Amino acid sequence: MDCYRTRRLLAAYCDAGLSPGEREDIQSHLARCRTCEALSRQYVRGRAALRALPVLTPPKHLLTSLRVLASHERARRLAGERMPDFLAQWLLRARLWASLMMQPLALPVAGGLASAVILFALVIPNLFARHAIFTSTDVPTTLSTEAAFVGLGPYGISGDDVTVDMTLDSQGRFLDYSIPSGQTWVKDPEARRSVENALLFLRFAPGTTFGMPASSKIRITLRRSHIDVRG
Amino acid sequence: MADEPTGLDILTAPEEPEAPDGGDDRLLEGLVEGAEWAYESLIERYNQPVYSLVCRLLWDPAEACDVVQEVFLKVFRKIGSFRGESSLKTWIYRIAVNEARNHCRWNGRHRGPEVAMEGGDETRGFRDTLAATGSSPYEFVLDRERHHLVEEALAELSPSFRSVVVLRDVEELSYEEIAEILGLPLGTVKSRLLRGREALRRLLQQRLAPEPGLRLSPQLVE
Repeated sequence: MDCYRTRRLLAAYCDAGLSPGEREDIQSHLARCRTCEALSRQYVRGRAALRALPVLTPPKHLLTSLRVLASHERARRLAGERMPDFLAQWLLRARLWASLMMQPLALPVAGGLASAVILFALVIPNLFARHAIFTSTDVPTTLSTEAAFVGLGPYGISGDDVTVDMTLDSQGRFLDYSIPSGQTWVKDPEARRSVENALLFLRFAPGTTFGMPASSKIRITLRRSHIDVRG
Repeated sequence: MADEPTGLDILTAPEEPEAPDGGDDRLLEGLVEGAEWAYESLIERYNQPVYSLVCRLLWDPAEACDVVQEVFLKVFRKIGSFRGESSLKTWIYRIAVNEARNHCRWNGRHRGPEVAMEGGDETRGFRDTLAATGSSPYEFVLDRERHHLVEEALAELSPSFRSVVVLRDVEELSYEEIAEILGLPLGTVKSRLLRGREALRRLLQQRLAPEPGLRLSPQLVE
């Protein structure tokens, strides 16, 4: 065994951690090599010096601190073990509190909800009932009704079909008219005069708001054979 | 001093059972159950070895006290997760080494060297913690000097070598235990031990080398 290998194994040799064969090899090398033998003795002495180091005594306050720490940790651990009981108690209290709070609230909440439903059921149909169907003898009961066509006058129209938007007063009389786009007869003055004459003598039942006659608008189409009214 | 009530004595319940004799298993059982005798027993059994180890790894008794408290806090809190794959001693030493290492890192990053402002028991020097040997004053002083030299040389080792050397040569743990504590392969432990011992040998050789003395030469008086 050479010096390099001996020195690599010297620490293990000092710790008696080698096999008997390796130990014999090192011992024979140490008997021959004075340098390695001196090194070995230094290792042994160094190790002995380390083992001879005195015991380090912890200061007294450290022991007291550790005992206080242990006491706190023990109390914490024991408190942690009792946690399930504590949780169960907390849950019971929460349930009781919810029950006591909800019972007084239940009747007012249910009454309020029922009132709201009834009110909406009464109001909503009136808000959206615009197209009421009624005859000439019916009294309008809805909030608003549109003007209705009653009869033609003595004048007819000459030429194509005519569509106009008519503005009527509260007594169903013709006030004004406008012509939707796409009408061809507009450019013919003769046709316009004929239409205006016809419109002047048309008869309408006035529209109503809250049962009272009111001005309204109506779109009508006049044809040769018949008349269409579109509200 | 022994009669004075301590932190645990004050809080001791009268019906607390006596500490039973037993090994680590019984101690562990007691700790998990929260038995007071188990906490007391753990502190009594391990406070000195842990302090000694941490002190030699940090080379600062005041810091060592803080680290030892951190170590025991971790032990108390994590005792439930200890699975018994190693001995309790190895497990506690592992926590101690890791805490000391973390403390060194934290100190290296956040703190510079500090000087204590107060004297007394809180800030006594490292050598003051050494127990008296009871030998003659001359031997006592000689021993102290020798030990001081060794401790100083030990402190100069790099932390990775120092931890291995301390665990092996001071705490006298086996290679396997050291490997488990440091989380290193067995071969690395042996290698570090060899290199650490060699470094320590050189340091001690330098310190123990004789100083060049005053040379006196006889001269005739005229």
